[in-house]
Amino acid sequence: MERVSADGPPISNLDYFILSSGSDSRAYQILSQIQAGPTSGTKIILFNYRERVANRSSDNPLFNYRNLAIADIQEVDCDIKNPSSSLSALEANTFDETKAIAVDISCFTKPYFFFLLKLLRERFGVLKIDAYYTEPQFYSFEKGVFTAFHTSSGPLSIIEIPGYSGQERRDAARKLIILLGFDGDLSREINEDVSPGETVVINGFPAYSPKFKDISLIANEKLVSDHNIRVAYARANHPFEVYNLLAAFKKEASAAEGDTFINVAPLGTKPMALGACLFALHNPEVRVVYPLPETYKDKYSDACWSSWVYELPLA
Amino acid sequence: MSDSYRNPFSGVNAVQLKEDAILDYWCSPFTYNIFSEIKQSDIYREENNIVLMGGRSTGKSMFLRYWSYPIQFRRAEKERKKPLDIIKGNEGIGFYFRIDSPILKSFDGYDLNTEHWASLFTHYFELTVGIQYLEALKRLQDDAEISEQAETSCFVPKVCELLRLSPQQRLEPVITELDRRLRFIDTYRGDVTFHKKAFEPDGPVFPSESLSFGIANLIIQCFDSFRDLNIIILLDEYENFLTYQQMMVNALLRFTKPQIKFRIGMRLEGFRTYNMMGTEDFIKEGREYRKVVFEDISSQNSDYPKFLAEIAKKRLEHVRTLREAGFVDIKKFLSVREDLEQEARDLVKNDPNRVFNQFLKSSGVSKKELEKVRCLDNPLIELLNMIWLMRGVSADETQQAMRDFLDGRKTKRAKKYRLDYVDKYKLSLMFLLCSIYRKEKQYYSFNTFSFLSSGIVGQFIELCRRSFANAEWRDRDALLENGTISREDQTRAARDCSVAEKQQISRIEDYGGTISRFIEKIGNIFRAFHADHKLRYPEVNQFATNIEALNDKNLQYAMQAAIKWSVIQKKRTMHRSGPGEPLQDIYAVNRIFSPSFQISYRTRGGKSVALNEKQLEDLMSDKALVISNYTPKDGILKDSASGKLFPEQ
Amino acid sequence: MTVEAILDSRDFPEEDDLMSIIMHTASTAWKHDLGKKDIDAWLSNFQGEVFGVKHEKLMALWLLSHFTFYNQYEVEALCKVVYQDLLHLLITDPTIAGKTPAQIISEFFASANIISPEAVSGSGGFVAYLFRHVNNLPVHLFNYSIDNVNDRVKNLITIDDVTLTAGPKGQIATFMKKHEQQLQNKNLYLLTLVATDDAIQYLSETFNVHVVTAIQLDSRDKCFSDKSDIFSAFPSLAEPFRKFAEHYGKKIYQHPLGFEDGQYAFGFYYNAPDNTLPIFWSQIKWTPVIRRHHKNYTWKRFLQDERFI
Repeated sequence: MERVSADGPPISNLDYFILSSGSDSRAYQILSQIQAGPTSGTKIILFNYRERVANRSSDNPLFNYRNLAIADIQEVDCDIKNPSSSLSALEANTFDETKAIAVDISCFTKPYFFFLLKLLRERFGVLKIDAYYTEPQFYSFEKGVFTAFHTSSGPLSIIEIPGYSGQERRDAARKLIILLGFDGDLSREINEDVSPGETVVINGFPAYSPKFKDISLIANEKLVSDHNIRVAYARANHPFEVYNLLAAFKKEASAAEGDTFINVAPLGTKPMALGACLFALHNPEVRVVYPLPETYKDKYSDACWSSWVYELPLA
Repeated sequence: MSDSYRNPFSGVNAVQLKEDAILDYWCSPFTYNIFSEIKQSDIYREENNIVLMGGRSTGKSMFLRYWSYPIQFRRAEKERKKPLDIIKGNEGIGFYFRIDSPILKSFDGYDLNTEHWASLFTHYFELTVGIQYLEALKRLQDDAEISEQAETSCFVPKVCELLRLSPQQRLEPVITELDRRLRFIDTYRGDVTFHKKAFEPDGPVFPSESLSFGIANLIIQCFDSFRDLNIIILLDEYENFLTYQQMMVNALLRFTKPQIKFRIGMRLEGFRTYNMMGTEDFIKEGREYRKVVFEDISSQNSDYPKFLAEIAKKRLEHVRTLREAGFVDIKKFLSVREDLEQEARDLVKNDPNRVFNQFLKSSGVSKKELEKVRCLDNPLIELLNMIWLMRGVSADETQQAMRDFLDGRKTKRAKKYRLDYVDKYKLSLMFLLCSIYRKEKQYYSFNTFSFLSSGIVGQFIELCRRSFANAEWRDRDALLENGTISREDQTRAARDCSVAEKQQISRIEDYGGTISRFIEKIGNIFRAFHADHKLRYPEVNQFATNIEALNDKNLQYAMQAAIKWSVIQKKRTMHRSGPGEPLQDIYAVNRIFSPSFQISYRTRGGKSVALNEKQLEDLMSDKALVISNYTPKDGILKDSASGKLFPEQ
Repeated sequence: MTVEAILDSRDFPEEDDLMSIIMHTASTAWKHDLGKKDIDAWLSNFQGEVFGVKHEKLMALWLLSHFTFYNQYEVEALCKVVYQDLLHLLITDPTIAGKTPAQIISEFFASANIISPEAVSGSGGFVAYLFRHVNNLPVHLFNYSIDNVNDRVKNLITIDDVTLTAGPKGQIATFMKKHEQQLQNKNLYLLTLVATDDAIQYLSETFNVHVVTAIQLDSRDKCFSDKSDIFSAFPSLAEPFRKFAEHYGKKIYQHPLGFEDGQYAFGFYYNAPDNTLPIFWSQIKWTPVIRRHHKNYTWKRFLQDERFI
């Protein structure tokens, strides 16, 4: 993984750059550094969630990408709750293992980039991509302290992320590994729904900011205070650390008596989720579950901090 | 000593518990008459199907799992009996199934039609049930409870024939094959996202009943031990089944065979449909199933508080520090009931004359008369006396009644006074006093927590968990030495619980926002009744309405969702919302919200707030609340222009 | 608005709310036996000398609610992080070609020693023990003193918990300067659990040290800086809070806002660094809420009036 400097050279030689629109200032941080003019040959594929785009005026920051010098942009209309709604639009492109493809996950929902990465591999034979991510500078907390934090509103529907159903042997013990986020409702709902025999939580630590490691724990206090729950750590901006940790858990499970059905819930940061995604791609027997809300909150973080690029081997 | 202490009420989700833990924590609800509809023997013997309904954390999963064969087999081990002896004693064997909602939802979408998914899900369901039957038999075989001979000569060949497998000699390869077929379905569910394709297994697709009833019947036929036993399918969280999935299972309920029965656990209003697959017919309560409600808040016969005390005892006993110190009675930690007199004394101690001074200013009664009815030692009695004066009773009569009561005399006056003070108004007086002093009512004691839990065991456990956490934070040493938790720590726990539960309302599917607004407004209406200085309608915390008759379907569905999620709870029998009113369905707001609105947690008769459709609609909308639209014509707010207790406030 | 008005407003959390946050944080995240009694004892330090007792309590609780405390498991996790990052640094060295990662690492450690930059009994030594233990490293890699390091050792790794001070007064800088001769011709690495970006820059530019850190602090982490995270919701409060902390800090420590004006609000389960605000940890006529163990640099009495020895 490497830090991407805002002042660094432009990102070039890409065949495809895939991202999602968003009104967060992080949405186009990387896009603005991509060399995507008429001579570059880089095609931009921009996912526009209908739910985000609806009722926005043309001067909304969500449409700031229109001010950038982009020669070839394909806007893909899709539904936030249904990743496969974008399938037919993507099929028009010639992805294959020779293409240089980058995905900016900053404003994608997690189910979407999970789906996208598997799609690229399964349908198009893509073997590696570069994933970009820009950290927010700060999160908005009510009254400046972390009492409760909700990234969504309305009911939660716990789903298997499409393509990540895993394989459960009938006599296998269920193990749930939750990558902790700030929204405590989510982990509790998932833990109750999956009802594993064992739950492990992975706290993003070190986090973007020193205090965040406490926030994620107190937000999930009811789950974490259960003395049967194990707490592990992986850096919040480091997908490979999460990958290694999940691999270690899998190895531990293999050494134990009986089969284990591993479920992963990527509720933490997107880089952590990326690590979980990679792990699930390499271990198809692992299931990935996620709480899909009725409505995502539009903006709960702001401004840009560091940007990172991760080279991901999809196979 | 403190190193072996942990919060006795943390953790323990029934579905996640191992068998030993289920047995350790098990408290039979039948011992405490929690259900009036069924008795213990009905679990295995009742010929009709049973549907157990209750909100989250009411104990349904714990209940269902207890009767499943792994728990009963473990029970056999602990009691040094043979598993078959336990099964024969029960007259049945239970098989617990819980399909989590992510799996259920994955049988949907991708532009494939319902018929496709229905066929696949049915196949999945049949395999899931079938494989568990075989696993149970394998376990009995391993324990030498059933002979191999019976297995090889009769059962296995017939199962292979049913499954269209090549003939096998033993159970194990059959189980392996079923497992392989289930994982084939898992693979299909994962792949269908990217490759829309038909489901093409290398074996038959099993229709409904083929294995769930087919294998069950074979067990009954081939094994002498099972000949007279019932096979009970314990199906949990039925509310998560999609509509077509429920239609499939509903058909099984309709067409169950002798000796094969369902016990289904679900949320209230958990049926998405009563229709059945393959027919226009539908299932009906009483005909296809009996209903048992887990969170019946109005059952008179139940020993629900004793049930809670027993559950708490098991939790406390699991913590070595507490067990060794003999602190295993939750009533000792929380106190049995509120000490309202002491609470009142603590409330008024810095300003003991406030009520007196306010009445002096606004009631028109002379100082001399008012002083006759003072009772400095008991602020609640003093307040009651003031209210009697406002109702027109003379100061002398009030004073005499008070003295008769306090002296224990058996006069008519004392009896009337006792009726008012002890039986009717004591708690209401406390709420009113808190309102006058602008302080929050404290919520504490085992009795209070029992009420606040509203028939939901999980809520009681959460109240205790937070209370212990608060006490440990405040002074762990004192907690472990004295075995008591202060009123303040309990009150804080109750308040935090209440706020947390209120926040969860917005998570209810489709109607979360609507229900949230309704609760906020109805809670404030109840609060207004509690602040009535004449206590005309004490402890109003129920409303009357007819949900089934609502014309607006959205309103109806919203109310049904509120019931499903235990935000409101229906009383078992109809009541009148006031004297002279017709009989109506009465609903209580979940008592856990009482601390948020500073209202009573008890279930009383008397006044309920009657709500017609227009009023319900207004309460669920964004419109500003006009409390006077919901209060009686004699107006609790009528007497004072500002609507406050005393005009000067 | 005045400070008091902001603190009394509905926008600012109440004392109960802050206590609740601290309670949940201490029990869930810190795994620390910090109870209400300890906090009440600490709050009794604040006698209203700047803003009135009620408001000062609120200010103290606000600062405490933003304190970051690293429990044992987290410190161990940090030790793993710096080790992993060291390995990553080694195998991604562009000057090394044609070798596998295993070869690179093996060769590196074949000629490496790990030392503490301070006295053996300091926190660096303690962290070195943890570092060895969680990463399962051989004992022979660790040397108790720079003076004992063989001339043939090419790679010298120092370990410390915090490296916060940029400039010559910092502990590492002092160590580097003092042992300049011995450190010549060696590849120098500093593994530090927490470091500031200024300190990292200073050390790498001045002494050519490769600094590997798990947590990099910047101006957002200094309590009263204009970029402070703590006051992002109430920027106008940074200055009054500073005044408050400084006033009491002056009474209890020579550096009222922490060593070299640190202004930090963090500590470890075994100690709090002196760059952290002394109102949290000082014990001089003060009841601390977090422990700090100062180093004793002068010879003092070894007996404490025990009756029996």
